[in-house]
Amino acid sequence: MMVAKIDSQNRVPIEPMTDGNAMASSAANVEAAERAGLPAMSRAPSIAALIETKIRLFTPMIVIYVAGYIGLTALAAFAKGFMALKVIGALNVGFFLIACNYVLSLIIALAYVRVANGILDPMVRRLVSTPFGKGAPR
Amino acid sequence: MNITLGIFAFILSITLGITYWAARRTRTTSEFYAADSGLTAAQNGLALAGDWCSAAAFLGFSGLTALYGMDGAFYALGPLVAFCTVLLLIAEPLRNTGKYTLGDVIGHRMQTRTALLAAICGTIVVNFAYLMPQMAGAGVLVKLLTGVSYQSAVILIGVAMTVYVAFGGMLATTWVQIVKAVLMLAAGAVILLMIFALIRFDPLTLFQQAETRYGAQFLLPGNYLKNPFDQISLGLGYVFGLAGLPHVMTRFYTVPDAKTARRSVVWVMFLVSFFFAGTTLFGLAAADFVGQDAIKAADSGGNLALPLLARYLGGGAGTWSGEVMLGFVSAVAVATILAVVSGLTLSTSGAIAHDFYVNWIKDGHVEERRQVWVARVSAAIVGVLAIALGIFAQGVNVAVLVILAICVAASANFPVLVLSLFWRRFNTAGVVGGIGVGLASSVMLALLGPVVRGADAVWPLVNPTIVSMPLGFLGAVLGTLLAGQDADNESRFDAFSHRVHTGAAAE
Repeated sequence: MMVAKIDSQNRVPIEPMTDGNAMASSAANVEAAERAGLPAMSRAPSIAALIETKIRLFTPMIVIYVAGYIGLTALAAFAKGFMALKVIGALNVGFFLIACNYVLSLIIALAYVRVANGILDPMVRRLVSTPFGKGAPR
Repeated sequence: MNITLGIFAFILSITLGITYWAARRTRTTSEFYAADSGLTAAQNGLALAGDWCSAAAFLGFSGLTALYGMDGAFYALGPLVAFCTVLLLIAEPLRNTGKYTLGDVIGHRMQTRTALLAAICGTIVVNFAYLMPQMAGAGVLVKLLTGVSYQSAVILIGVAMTVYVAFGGMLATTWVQIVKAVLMLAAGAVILLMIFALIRFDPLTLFQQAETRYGAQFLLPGNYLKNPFDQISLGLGYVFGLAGLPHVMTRFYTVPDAKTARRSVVWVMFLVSFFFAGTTLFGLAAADFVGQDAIKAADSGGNLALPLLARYLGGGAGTWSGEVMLGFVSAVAVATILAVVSGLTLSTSGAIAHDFYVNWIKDGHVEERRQVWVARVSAAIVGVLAIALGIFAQGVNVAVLVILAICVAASANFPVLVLSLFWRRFNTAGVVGGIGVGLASSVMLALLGPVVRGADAVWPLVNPTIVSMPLGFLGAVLGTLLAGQDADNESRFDAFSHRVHTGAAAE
């Protein structure tokens, strides 16, 4: 099979990591992390730990915004009576929930940024300073 | 109406000046496709707003709200929520793995020509399905707003976008989108303030007046989308379709790193949430102050609700200030179309020149200067095709294409992109299965649906995403499993995944 050369320009070709290197580096980093007194979760900066953290943090966010929005459209589709209830004056539940959904989307975005800046970026920084990182011999 | 043309000519001359400036800074492929990845988060956020808010958003949402009440508000909400998907799932991984196109990401992950070709198909189908109704819409709208004939309008828009892209590449496209976004947001802010002054800063008045005038049913869902499943299907299409639109993906290559990509999504979310929520209030205000009869008399689709509202707020028909407001909003609507079609043209020329010609046919062995030249020629070809299709589309019902663009993006491109980024076993057969099944089911169901067949519809929903997206995922998973284990592919995933999550080793 022909292989497309996507990286023809200026990229380093990707080489698969070997397990031996991965283990050695993560062991070294656990020691380094322990010396630095970092929290347990971030002790071993491995891709697996990063992905696990992402799944743990992002799954609830994804469930909330998808359920919030699709749930609202489902209410619009099947619960018109509920949507017609008045909140204040002529403003009904439907428009009120739409407004809430705007706010919810922005809260999700800010929560994501907070998590990414505060938890994930430091993990990534530790990861790429391991021997797999930028500038290190591979 | 000549005020509109005058203001638009002024906007056009600014954008052409930008293109002249950008053309002198567009020499390499990286500059042409990605503005050398040198944009800031605010610049890219504004450009994303310019890219994503089409005339359908600028004029259509307020029009729908003015005529159909709450369904219009739902139309405006979906495109904002969609950015959550982009932010949480694809913005940073795209920046970390790709270079210029969707084909880059898929090709990079799979390292096969077949997968690359499938990604090219997904890109070109979605882009043309998006581009053609934009051109047709441009023709109708410019004719409506300025009195210029349909053909002249399509040619004017087509030539302008081709000039921006072919000469100025991503830099010109970006700044055209930024100019448009700033104008659009400024127009929105002015109109919003004028409405608030009129209702003494109590938005409840708008609801009250609407209910008094049109009855409580006006403020309820289901006036526009009669089939309840259509509401949900449309919602799904928006929430996952945006993340599958190649011309939106391209925007994430214009920033230097994942963190900037992240911040640019937050920028666009805050900018457009204000604007989209505004369109709902504009629609209600138009229904209250201009009246549904006057809106329908001007355009049965409601597209003139916002310009008419602007004229009312400016002092009414016949007054100097009223006509200037109408002209300004109309000119911004035309600029809006220009910004969107430019992004589409650039992304399509990337699929043709970079993915297909350079990487698929020539296996990457093309000299840099020639690559840029091919990209410019591709942009010109896309421009000519778009003009031809736009003129051909006159009088043809292109509504089905609008649905198809977002539906194919959600059903074919989105599953394949997400599985490529995050699923170890996902392979070339899965890419072909996902794009193939997602594309085929979207097209078939749309063709069997009410938009094409009217009362004879075999399939009941206007928007098929609720079925075609699960089918796209199913096709991708089945293709992957049927092809069996591929140890090379899976071991390559480790290195790819490293790049997806850290960006390290990415250019």
